[in-house]
Amino acid sequence: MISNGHVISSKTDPKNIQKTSDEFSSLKKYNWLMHLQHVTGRLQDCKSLISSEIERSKGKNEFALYKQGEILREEGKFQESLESFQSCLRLHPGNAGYLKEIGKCLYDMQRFKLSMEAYLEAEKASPNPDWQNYFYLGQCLLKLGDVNKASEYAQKAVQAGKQEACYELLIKILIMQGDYKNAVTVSNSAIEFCPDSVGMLTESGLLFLKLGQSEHAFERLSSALALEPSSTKALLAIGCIMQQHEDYDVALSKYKTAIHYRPDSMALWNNIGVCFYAKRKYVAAISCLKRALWLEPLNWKVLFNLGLCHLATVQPASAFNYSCAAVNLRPDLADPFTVLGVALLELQDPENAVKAFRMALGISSEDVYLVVNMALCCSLIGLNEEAAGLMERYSRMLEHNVTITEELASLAEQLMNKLKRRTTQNVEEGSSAENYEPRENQTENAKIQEENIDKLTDDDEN
Amino acid sequence: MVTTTKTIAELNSSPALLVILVIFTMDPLYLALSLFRRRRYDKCVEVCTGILDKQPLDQAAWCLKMRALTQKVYVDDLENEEVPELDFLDDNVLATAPRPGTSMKTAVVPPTGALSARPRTSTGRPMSGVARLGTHVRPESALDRARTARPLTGTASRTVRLGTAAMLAQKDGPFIQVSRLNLAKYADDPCLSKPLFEYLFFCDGDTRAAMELAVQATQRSRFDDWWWKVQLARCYSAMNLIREAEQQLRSAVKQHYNVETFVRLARVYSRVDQPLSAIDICKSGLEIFPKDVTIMTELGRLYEGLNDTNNSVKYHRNILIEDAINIEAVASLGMHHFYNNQPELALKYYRRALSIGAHSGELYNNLGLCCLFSQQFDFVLPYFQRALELATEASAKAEVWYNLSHVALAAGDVQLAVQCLNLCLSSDAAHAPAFNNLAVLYHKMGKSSLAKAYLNTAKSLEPELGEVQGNLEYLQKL
Repeated sequence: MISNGHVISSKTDPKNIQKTSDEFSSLKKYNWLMHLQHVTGRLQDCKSLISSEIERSKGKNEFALYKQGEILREEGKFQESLESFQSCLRLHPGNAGYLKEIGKCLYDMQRFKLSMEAYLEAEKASPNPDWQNYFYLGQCLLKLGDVNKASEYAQKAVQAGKQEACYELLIKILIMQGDYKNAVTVSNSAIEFCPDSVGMLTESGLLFLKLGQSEHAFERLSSALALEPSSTKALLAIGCIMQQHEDYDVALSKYKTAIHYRPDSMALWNNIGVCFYAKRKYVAAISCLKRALWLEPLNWKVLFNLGLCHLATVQPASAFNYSCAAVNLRPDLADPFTVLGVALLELQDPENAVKAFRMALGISSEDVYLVVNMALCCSLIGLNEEAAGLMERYSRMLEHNVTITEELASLAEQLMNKLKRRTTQNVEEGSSAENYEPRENQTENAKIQEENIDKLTDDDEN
Repeated sequence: MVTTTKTIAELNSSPALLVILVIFTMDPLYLALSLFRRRRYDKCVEVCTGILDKQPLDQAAWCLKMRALTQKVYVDDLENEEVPELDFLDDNVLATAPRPGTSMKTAVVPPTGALSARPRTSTGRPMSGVARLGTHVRPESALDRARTARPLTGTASRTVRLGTAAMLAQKDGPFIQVSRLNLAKYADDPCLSKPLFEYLFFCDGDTRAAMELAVQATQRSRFDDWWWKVQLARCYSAMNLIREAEQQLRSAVKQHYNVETFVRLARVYSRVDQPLSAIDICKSGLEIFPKDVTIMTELGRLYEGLNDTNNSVKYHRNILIEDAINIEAVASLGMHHFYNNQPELALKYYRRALSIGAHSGELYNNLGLCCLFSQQFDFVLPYFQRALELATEASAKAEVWYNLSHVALAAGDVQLAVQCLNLCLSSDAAHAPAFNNLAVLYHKMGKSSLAKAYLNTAKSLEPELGEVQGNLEYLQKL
């Protein structure tokens, strides 16, 4: 037993006292000792003291029961902990604190409905608004699937107490609702209250990135990194911004530090692979992407990128395999179909290539790259009318201010000229001139697809 | 033409006649010796029995018969030594709480990321290139193994089996009545004692009698015959008297350098869980017998058990330089390269194993996997087909189906992958990784509750599997 730094063992040992003590002694006599033992981590002593106290008081010592519940919950025995809090509540009906503890136990046991009821009662019982009540109510409602009500409670929780967890919950709900604008404003106010929270800074940076405001995002992420240089999430996001600005060396250095801390992150390996691809180091790119694939064999983005790399290294059969797998995994996306089409074209199977392009076009008709690639394919196998139609569609898209790269523009121009030539000299010229063209054009295709990858990597960090 | 064929026929028939003549005239003991040298042990035993029927006290025939019987059942017990060390009743282990890195149990486990380390077997041991006795045993198994039907005490069950096999071969009772043998008499005779010992040890499986003979023989030879010391150590370690075995081997090494002695000494140390001393012994052995394959194999295995991949690979490479058709080294290197993200190199090694003549379902399975990861897709399915045809055991079949599910995943065909995993489970209902992967696939399909059920099954089957734990936590958070 501790008293002022000295250990006095014999005299004040609770067991000895118990023998001499009469039944009129105070129930709360050893509450301070229980607490002290609990917070100093002497759980064994604390448990034996609690059980002797409960026995002495014939189960009437509230504090002992409360402490027992807390210890049991720390040990992960939720059911027993719940029982002991319930007996607390029986001794002191309507106590908000005990109701909260019961709710927490039920929440840990994943009985969200019961937990919500307990917190609702706690809310009624508590004299002033308590952020914990609102926070857990929000969490329970979220788990039960009622997002709108959950957001109400999350807002209440934020108002009641400016806690990081509450802000996080609110942001999560807003993102679920797709309301990024509000999520950003919430995260801004959250950062005002906790400016040194790495998680919050990163979260807000990612939100800015979602909205496309990369300067703000960069600012937030750099301050997160300044606080914790090993934060992989922030490193990945900042690398991604760098990659978008085509500053591949800086991006790679960021990824390298991140991969040191988290060597088993699929997104990191994928983005490193894409960086190498952009730097035209295809072997390195393929090996990095393969690592990513080893980590997550079911990720279509990695498969898609591998398909592109193999197209760039003139291995269309492998490209076909990877893009085929990507298509199998996500038949609802246009990009894998486009790569599949290009791979089939390289494999000298233009009919199926056109089929793949048509599938892609059926999914998303507004993709400039897809339209131009398909037009090229059509013109190569002699479907000139369809090619011309596609080029018309392309020029219509250009009127709507679609941003395109120079390569695409020059390719489209070449194609237009060729089609025009064909319509004028339709009769005299057969299909002789086009045979040497495909290879050159294909390399340009690969370059065009590169843009797609960057777009895709943005999604990876989520 | 006709005449020439005739002469050939005549020529052919004449030696046969000659042989018959020789048999009738040749000394039967000489014939028996010749048969023994030609490894026709059954015939040799027959001839010796004939001699002994006529002259029951003919020592030469008796000795030869013993040798022939021993040779028939002789196994390299260095290679398949049964290791009973892991019993919880065992008190031979020196340090109960060894420092990390000084014991097989506390070998420094590399971080088990998906990339950095090769996977472990279901018993928690690092994977080896080939299956050996003991590679299926968990290093830290204590009471767990009490559940299985395996005998808990370290009796040399193999020797018992061999003994019964030898008994069956003899029609009219045992050749030598061990209980009636005057061991002291035979221990005196240096020519008879050694064959008799081998007969007792291998053929009769009577380790106790063999040990008695060895003890007396060493005493007679005034403790200067290293062979007897090694044999004594062999008996001691078969009877789990490790400390005595160590003493004998130590003094044998002082008298005479022999590869077997070094390897046995190393084995003794690894049985008392002192792998570092075992490595030291092997290294000193290598100084005397540079580039010896047996010692290097032992070193490779020891380093593998200690999770020291670099050194293990180094020794396996050296083995291959000395002995280019060493299957264990080829397979270990193949596996090392496979888990080191070099499937093309692994493919080369496994192809070499195939051309050496290892023709097993496991090998075809590995070849298929290497082809899959090195993008030689046209070979993948034929190899796996072969593997399925050759896999007779249910567990091997289950592994092949498990790997086929990865082939399906590589093609992005989730349905096929699920079917493969179901087939895997139908062969081996306790395949925890298959349950885990099924759970992941079902989760991808949106059947979360089914996924959770599968994960719980996987967890109950193999609680140590990190992936299952991680996946369960992930599902809890959702």
